[in-house]
Amino acid sequence: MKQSKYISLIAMLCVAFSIKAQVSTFGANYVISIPMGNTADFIGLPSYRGASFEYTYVPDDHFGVHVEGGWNNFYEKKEKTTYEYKTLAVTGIQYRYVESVPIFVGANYFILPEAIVKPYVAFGLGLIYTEKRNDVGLYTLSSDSWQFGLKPELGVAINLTENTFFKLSAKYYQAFKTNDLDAQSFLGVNMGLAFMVQ
Amino acid sequence: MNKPISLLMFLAVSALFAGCYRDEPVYTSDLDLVVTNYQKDFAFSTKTTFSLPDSVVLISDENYDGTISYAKPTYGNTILAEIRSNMLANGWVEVDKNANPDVIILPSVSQTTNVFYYYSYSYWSWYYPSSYYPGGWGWYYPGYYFPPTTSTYKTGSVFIQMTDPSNAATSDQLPVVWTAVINGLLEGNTTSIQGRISTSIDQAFKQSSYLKK
Repeated sequence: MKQSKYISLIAMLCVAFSIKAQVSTFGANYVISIPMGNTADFIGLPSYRGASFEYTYVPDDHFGVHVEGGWNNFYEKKEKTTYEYKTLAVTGIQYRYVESVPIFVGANYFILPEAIVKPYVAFGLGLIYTEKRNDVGLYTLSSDSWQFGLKPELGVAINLTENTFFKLSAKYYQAFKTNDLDAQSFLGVNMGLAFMVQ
Repeated sequence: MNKPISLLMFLAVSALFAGCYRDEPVYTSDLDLVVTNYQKDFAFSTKTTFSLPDSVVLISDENYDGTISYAKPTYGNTILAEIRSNMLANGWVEVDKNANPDVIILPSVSQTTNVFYYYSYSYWSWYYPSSYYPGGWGWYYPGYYFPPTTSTYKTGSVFIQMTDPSNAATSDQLPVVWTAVINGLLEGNTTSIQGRISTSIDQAFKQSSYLKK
């Protein structure tokens, strides 16, 4: 019963607003990123420093294409610890940084384009510039690379006014290994506003 | 500017500042580094006696003529005392350098002053005659528009080398069987630097358990 109540609420919202066909939106998001894979091995803490910007063109009710750019700063201080490598032992505080700048193009599919709460799925391809840095004592070990990346995305766009939206989405970024850097991945939780530009 | 756009701009600008902010080391001790290494096949367990010199050698650029400088006793004595107490605590016996010690420990220090010099890209700039600068070409003095600024910081390293004099017969070089390098900022008052040197030397021994008897 409870479930059907929610369904009827969503159905009511569906008829309340309708999105115009052939629209473009510009959006800015605050991003919290959760490191995964190799990125998580290097930095275990989530990043609260990130932003993304999106331009989405929706020629059809259901389908859209988008361009996205953003950045995410991961940081973790590793307290004074001794790291051993063969006969070598190094003790110091480590300041670890990963800076990730994704630049993507992709496609969106809006499941309920007529609803106020518009769930969507998206998929993107692009490049991710990653700089990985480890400051130990007065020394810095760093490597950086442009990596090819994939991005599946799941989200909702909620109408605040007829041409303003609140957007909440989860984007999983996978950057592939290059000669300079191992594969990186993280999950970006995006929240922000988008507004129609035409 | 309408409301959604200004809200969006606010969000974007906030995110921009949040994204650029980074944490950095706060205390000079946060930058202290202790590195140790040892010769794998050296039988530390069979050695029992050590010897220490009276002073700590200062490695500097000014020693071209072959003269030897020494570290200030305020730091040199701290370094020697700390090495001695750690070696004794590890079960070694100190002997005179002429009493055929199993190992001789040679400490040295070095100091570097790093200078940063910031100046505008138009450090020495020059221009061709044009309608703006009639009358010929010319140039600016450095810092004419943006005065250059400088800043310096000092870094210091302590090197502790444990040598094996019994294997020195074949050449003039002494084999180094254990080495510790301590590196950090040489900033702050004497007591604070002495404290950091002591802590780091203790750490060097702590992470070298093979030196324990």
